[in-house]
Amino acid sequence: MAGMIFWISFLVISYVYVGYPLLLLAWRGCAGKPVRRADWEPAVSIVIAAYNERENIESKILNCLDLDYPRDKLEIIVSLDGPTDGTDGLACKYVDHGIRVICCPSHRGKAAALNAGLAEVSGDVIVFADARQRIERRAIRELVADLNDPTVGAVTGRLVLLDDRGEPAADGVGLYWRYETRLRALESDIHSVAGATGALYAIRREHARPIPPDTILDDVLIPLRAVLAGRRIVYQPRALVYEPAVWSPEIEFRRKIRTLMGNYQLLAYLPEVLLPTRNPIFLQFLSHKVGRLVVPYLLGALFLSNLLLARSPVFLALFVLQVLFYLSAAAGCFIARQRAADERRPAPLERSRVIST
Amino acid sequence: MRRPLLIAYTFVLMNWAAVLGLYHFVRGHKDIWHRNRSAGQSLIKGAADSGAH
Repeated sequence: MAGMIFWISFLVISYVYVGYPLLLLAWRGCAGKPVRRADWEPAVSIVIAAYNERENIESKILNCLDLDYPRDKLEIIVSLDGPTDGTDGLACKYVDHGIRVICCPSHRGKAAALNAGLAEVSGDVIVFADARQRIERRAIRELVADLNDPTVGAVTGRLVLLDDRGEPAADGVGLYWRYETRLRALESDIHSVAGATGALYAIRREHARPIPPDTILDDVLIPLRAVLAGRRIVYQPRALVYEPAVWSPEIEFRRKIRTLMGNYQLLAYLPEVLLPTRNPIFLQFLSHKVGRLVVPYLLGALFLSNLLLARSPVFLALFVLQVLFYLSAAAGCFIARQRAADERRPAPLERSRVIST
Repeated sequence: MRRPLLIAYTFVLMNWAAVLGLYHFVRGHKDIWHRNRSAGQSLIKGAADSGAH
């Protein structure tokens, strides 16, 4: 019994993290579907849903005003979810520049703010963006070029995580993110990615319908509806958006909790994604999204079953490897915490100033 | 030397996030994003934790 649990856990975990990407590589080689891109300039509405974003909202609006896209074809809507830190006052300063500000009187959540923004859009293409990240100047052009292909319903941009030097992050989280990004690119080449990045994605207006007000993953629910309607969600690596933050495993962890919690909600809101007859990316959804929900429990099963089997030399060696892996993770936790403590500590000049005042 | 350790840590953390995700979903915590946001801000100087996927 322990042996069976061990091998099932091992095979499923290996499939989710290694087998599935290899399958995608082979699949793309046999049946990749290139997107028919072309430069065109449809009317675009950018919807930025924000809550308390006092520190970011002005730079975001200026970023949008500076985008390489005809101003007369670009509508910028800032939908505020009852901010309490003065974000609304800062956003309203740009009304004279053609920015439309919608301010919900109370805090009802991001989905409600998105719905309020969607009710006001006039463009043929809706671009969703968050307040914090910086959009690269040509990103909108890159997104809409993919929408020239009638089979494409939504296009997601590429979120680049920057480290404290402003360089793409290269440590554990950076590597993890690059793995995820590569997976998305492969899924996109075959048919569709299983969701978009909320930092930047574009969707045809007919697919951008209001979502339940308590939706957690708006950027998965909205594009997946386009897939269920027979369109593709493609990934455009040249549509760049930068996360200008000190990124850390802990921040990614919190983001991930929300994402994975949202995946459970998604299964409740869109159960048809689990029907191979309805969902054209059923296998991708099962392997990528559902697989990630299952793997943690299989890791536990792998460890415990390996412990029970450790009387055999081979299983003992595998168990030692598992223990070493988790000890490495504990050491990595210590390093990450040290790094976070160093970042919180004031620089020597700042410290001396504090002491002298 | 640090990189493999951080990779192992990130892998474990991401999987632990799936367990906590189920816990919060079952408990009906819909507004975790905003509570996490303030935690994120205290973790690293002024870095608001919003929006990305």
